[in-house]
Amino acid sequence: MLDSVMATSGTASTFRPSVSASSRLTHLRSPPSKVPLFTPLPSSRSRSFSVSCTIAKDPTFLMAEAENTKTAGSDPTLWKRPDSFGRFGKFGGKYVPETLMHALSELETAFYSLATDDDFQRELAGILKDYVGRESPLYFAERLTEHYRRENGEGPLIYLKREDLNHTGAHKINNAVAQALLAKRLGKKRIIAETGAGQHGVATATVCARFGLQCIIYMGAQDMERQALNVFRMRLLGAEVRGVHSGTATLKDATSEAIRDWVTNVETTHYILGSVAGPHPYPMMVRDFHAVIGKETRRQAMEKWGGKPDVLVACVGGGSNAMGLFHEFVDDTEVRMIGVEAAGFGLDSGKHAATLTKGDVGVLHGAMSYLLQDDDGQIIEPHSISAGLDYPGVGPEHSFLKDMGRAEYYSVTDEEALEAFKRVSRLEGIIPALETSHALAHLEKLCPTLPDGARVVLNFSGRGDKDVQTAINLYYPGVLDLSIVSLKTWDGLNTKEALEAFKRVSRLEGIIPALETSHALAHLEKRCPTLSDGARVVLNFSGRGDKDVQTAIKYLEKNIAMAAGNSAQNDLDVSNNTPIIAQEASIVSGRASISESVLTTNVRGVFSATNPPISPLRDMLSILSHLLSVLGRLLNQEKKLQVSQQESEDSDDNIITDLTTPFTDRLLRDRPVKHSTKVTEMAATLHATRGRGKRGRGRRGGHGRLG
Amino acid sequence: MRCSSSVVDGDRSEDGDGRGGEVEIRDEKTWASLSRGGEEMRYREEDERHHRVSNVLRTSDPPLGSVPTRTDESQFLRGDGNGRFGRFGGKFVPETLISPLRDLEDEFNFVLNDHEFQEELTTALRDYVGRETPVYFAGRLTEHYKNISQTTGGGPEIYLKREDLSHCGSHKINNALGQAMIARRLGCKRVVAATGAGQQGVATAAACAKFSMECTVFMGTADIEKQSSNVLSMKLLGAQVKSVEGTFKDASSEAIRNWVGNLETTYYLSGTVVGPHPSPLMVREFQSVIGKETRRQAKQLWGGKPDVLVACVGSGSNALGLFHEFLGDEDVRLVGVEAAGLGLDSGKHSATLAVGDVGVYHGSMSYLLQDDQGQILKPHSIGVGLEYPGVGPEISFLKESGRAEFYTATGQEAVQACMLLSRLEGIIPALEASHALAFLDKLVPTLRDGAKVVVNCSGRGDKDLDTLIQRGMPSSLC
Repeated sequence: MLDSVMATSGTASTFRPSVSASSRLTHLRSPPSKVPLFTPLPSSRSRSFSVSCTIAKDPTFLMAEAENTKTAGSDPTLWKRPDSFGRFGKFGGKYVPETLMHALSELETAFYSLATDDDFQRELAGILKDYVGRESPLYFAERLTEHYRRENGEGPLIYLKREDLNHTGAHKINNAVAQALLAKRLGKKRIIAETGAGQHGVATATVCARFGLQCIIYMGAQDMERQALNVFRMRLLGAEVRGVHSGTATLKDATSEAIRDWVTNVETTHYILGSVAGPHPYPMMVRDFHAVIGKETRRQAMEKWGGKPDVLVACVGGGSNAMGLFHEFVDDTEVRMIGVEAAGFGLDSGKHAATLTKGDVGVLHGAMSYLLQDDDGQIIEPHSISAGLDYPGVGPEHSFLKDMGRAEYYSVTDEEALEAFKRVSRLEGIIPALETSHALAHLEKLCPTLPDGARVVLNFSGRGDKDVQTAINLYYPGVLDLSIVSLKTWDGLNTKEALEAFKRVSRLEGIIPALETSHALAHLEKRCPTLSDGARVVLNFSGRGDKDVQTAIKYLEKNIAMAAGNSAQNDLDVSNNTPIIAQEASIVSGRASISESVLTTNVRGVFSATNPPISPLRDMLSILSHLLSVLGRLLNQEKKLQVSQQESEDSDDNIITDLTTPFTDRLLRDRPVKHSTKVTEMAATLHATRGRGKRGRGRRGGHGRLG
Repeated sequence: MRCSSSVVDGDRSEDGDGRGGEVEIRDEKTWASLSRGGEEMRYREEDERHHRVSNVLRTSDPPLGSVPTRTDESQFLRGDGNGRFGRFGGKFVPETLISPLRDLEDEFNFVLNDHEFQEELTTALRDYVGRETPVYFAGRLTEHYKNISQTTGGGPEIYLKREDLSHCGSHKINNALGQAMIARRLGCKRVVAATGAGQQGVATAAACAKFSMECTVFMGTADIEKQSSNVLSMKLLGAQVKSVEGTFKDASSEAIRNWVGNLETTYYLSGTVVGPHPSPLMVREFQSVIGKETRRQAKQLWGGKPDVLVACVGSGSNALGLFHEFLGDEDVRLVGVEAAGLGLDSGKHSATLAVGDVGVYHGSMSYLLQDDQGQILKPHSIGVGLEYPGVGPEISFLKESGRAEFYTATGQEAVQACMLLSRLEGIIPALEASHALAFLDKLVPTLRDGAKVVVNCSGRGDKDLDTLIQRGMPSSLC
C-alpha cells in the first residue's frame, strides 16, 4: 500500500486514497503558494518528478565532484555514492510525489551547505560528545574471543564498538541529533517521525526535547499496544504520539500517515527518517550522520593495534548502523564487510526479514532497493523477533554494495539470535539488543572460518534492556518458536477480546461463560466472517462463569487505585481493568483450559520439552493462539512467583513441571496488589489507546489526542 | 574541614616552591592530591584524547598512614587506620570477620599502587563502562530557571555529570568492576551482593559475568516487585537472585550473613559507602573517579572549578564519588539531597541526616533512622536506591564538620524534576538522581549569576518508568 503511495504518483491526486476530500484539495491547491524558502522553484514545474530532480542539480554536482576527487584512487563509477540523482548504481532515487520534491531539494541543499559549515559541525560535535556521550569505546571482548578460540589456541580477536553506551541506548541518536539540528537551521519548528518498536520515536522525542522542538510521532495502534513503555517514554519526553488505525496499524501505515502529514505541513515541518532508507537525500544524509561510528572505529583501531580491522560485522534492518560502520571502510578493499539480516523463523518459512537474501528489486518509501514483495509487487509483512529489523526493505546503498560484491550479507534466525543474546550477556556482562544479537549470532559461523589473529569489529548497536522481558519469556525450552508468535501477534489483544466475549455472551444469551470458554467465544469474532452461509459451528461451552465474576469484582476493588479516573467508560466497568482481570482469569483458568481443550495433547507436547513441536502448526495456529497466550502468561506468572518465593535454588528447571500442579489457590491468596510490569504496561496502553475522544475525562484523559 | 585549612595552605606553598610550572594546577588541587607525581599531572594535561586515562587509583590518595606529615584532623577525612571519620565509621563486626576484613584492607592498599591492576581497571573503565562520562551543559534547564526567577541576569549555569551513560545505566558499575577485580585477586570464586534499586545488582552481575565469577544477589521482595526488569537483567547476566523478606537493609543483612557463612570462597561486594572499614573507603576510592573527571572537565569547559556540587544521598556512594575530589577546595559548596519521601513529618522518608541519630548499623557508626529503643526504622522513598536507614560514615562526618550541606526533597518533587528534565533536555533521570535535581528549585534562586552548578545525574530512569506510570502522569503531561 505504501509503495503505491510513494512510488507511482507523479501527481498528488493519485496518492491519497484514504485522505478526506477536503484535505486532498488542500494538497492540490496549496503547493504553488507554499514555496517561500530558498531555492525557489519555477512555477511551471514539470509534472515528471525525474525532471524536477534537477532543481537540486547544482549543489549535488559540487558534492559529486568533491566525492570524486576524494575517492579518485578507486573506480569512480563504482564509488560515486550517490550520483547527482541520489542513486547508488540503479538503487536509490527519489520516487516521491511532486509536493515533496521541494522539501527534499531544500533539505539536500541545506545538507550540502552544512557539511562545510564549521559552526554547525562544531555544535554537532559538541552535542555528540557531551550529550550523546561519544566517543563510544572499542571494547576488546576477551571472553567472547576466548569462546571462539579453536582447540589449537588460534582464533580471531573480537572487538565491540559500544554504541549501546550512547544516550538512549542505541546508535539511533547520532542521526536524530544531527537531523534535529539541521531542522533548527532550516527554521522548522515541528518534527514528525514514524516508529515501529518505538526506539526511533524515543530518539526523536529525546532530541526534540533537547532542542525545544514540537514533536509528533506516528505509531501503529497495534504497535502502541505492544510497546506501551516506549509510548510512555515518548510522552514523558514531551512528544505527541499519534496512533494510526488504518491498514494493519503497524509501521508501514504509520509511515504513510507521517508522509501525509509532511506533505500537508511541508514548510513548517521536518521529517526525521531513522534509517538509510527513503528518498534521496535521506539515505545519504543518515549515512553521513552515522559515519562517525566508522570514523571513530578507524581511529581507535589505529590506537589499539596500529592497523585497520579485518572484518566488520553489523546487523541490517534498514541498515543505518551497518552503513555507519561500513561507510568509512568502503574504499579499503581489504576490509571485509558483513551485514547480518534477520531470518525470522527461517528463510524458507516465509516469515523473515532477510530482504537482501530473499528480496527482489522494487520501489518502497521513495527509493529503489531490494524488497520483500509478492508477485504483484505488494509488500510482504516481514517478521523478526527484533522489532528494529522488522522492515520489508533495506537501504539502497546496501543493495548497491551487495550487487557490487563489496559487502557480504548473511542471515540469522530468531533462535540463533536469542542464543547469542544469552551467550553474550553471560560471557561479557553486556546485554545486547536483539538486533545486535543477530550480528553476534553470526560470529558462530564466521569465526571458525577466520585466520588466527584476525580482528573482527562488531557494531554493538544497542543495549538490550528493552528486550530482556521478551527474551526471558522465550527461554523456556519447547515453547520457543510458538511463544514468539504469541508475543508478536497477540500480546495484549487476546485478553481484551476474551473479556469482550465474556460480556457479549452474557448479554446476548444470558449465560455467563467461564473466562476460558470466553477465549473460544472471542475467536468467533474472527472466524465467523470467514465461514460459509449455514455452516454449523459447535463450540464446547466448557464451564460457567460464576467463579470468574467473583474474581473480576475482587480484582476491581483491589485495583481501584490504579484504575482511578478511568471509570465509567463502559457499562460493565470491567474493561478498564481488562488486562488485569484477564490475566488473573488466565491464571485461574489456565490449567482448566489445558485439560479441557481438544488440543490437549499438542499443548502438553509443547510444554513437556521432551517433545518439542515440529512446526508452528500453521493451521491450528489461530486456535492455538488463545491457549498459548494463556499459557505464556501462566509461565510469566509462574516465573515471577518463583522469583518472589524463591523456594528452590534454580527455579528455571522446575517451572515446566510445576505447570501441571495446582498452584492457583496459593497464587490468588498471596497476590500483592501490584502484579508485574507487564500488567501495568498493558493497562497503560489500553487506556492510552482507548482514550480517544475522551479528553479531559479523568486524570489521564488527555492521552486521548490520538487520531 | 575548617580545622584543616592551615594544612592546606602549608602544603600549597610548599608544593608551589617545589614544582615551579605545576603551581597553577596545584593551586586548585586539594591537599589530598598533593602527593601525586608531577609526571602524571603533566601527562594528564597533555593528553588530548577524548578518553583520557582515568588513573583511578594511582592519582588518588596514598594508602593510609603513608604520609606522616598529615595531622590527625586531615586524616579524619580519609579515615584513620581503623577506618574512622571523626567519631563515625569503624569496624563493629564479630571476631570472625576481622581477619578477612584485614586481608581485604591489605589487598586494597596493595592494589592502590599496583600498576598492573590500575592499568586493567583503567582500560575496563574506558572500554567497558564507557568513561569518561561527559559533563553536559543543560542549556534549557538553565534557561528554565532563569525564566522562573525572572531576573535579567545570567542566573547560575547548570551542568550534569552524565553517569547515566555508564554501562548498566548508573555509577554503580565503577565500584562493582573494581571490587570484582579485587575479589579475583583474593581468589574468591563467588560474589555476594545486596541491592535495593537493582542497579547495584545489575552492575555486580555484569562485572561478575565479565570476570567469570559466580554471583548471588540478595534483594528484598518488595524491591523485586518494584524493579522486575532489573531482576530479569540480573538473571540474564547469569546471577542468582535471592529474595529476602523486606527491603534493602534486610537484603544487606542477609548477604552479609551469607558471606560470613562462606568466608573462604566468597567476596561480599558492598555497593555503597557503608559497612565496616575498609568498605566505605574502598567504594569511595572507586567512585571518586567521578569527581576527578569532573575537575578535569570543568577545567576544560570553563577553566575553573565548579561552584556548587549537588548529588543525591541514599547511603552516599554517588555523592561521595563526586564530593571527595573537592573536599579540600573550600570554595566549592557541597550539597547532598536526601529523600524526604512523603514528607519529613510523615515518618515515611529516608532522610537519615535530617532527622536521624547516631548509632551503629551494618558494622559502622553513623547517622541512622532508629526509634527510642535503637531499633531501625523502615525507610521510604520513591527512589528505591535511596531507601536505606543509614548513611555512609564519611557523609555523617561531612555533615558534622559542616563541610557539606544536606537537604531533602520529597518524592513528589522528585517526580516533577524527573519530568522536567525529560521535557527540557531529553534525558530521563533515575528517580534517585531526580531528588538532586528537585533541590535545584530551592537552590538556584540563592545562587549568584554565573555560578557553575554540577549535578550528578547518577543513573538513567528507564528502570523507574513503571513507577512513574503507576503514579500516573499529571494532566499537564498528556
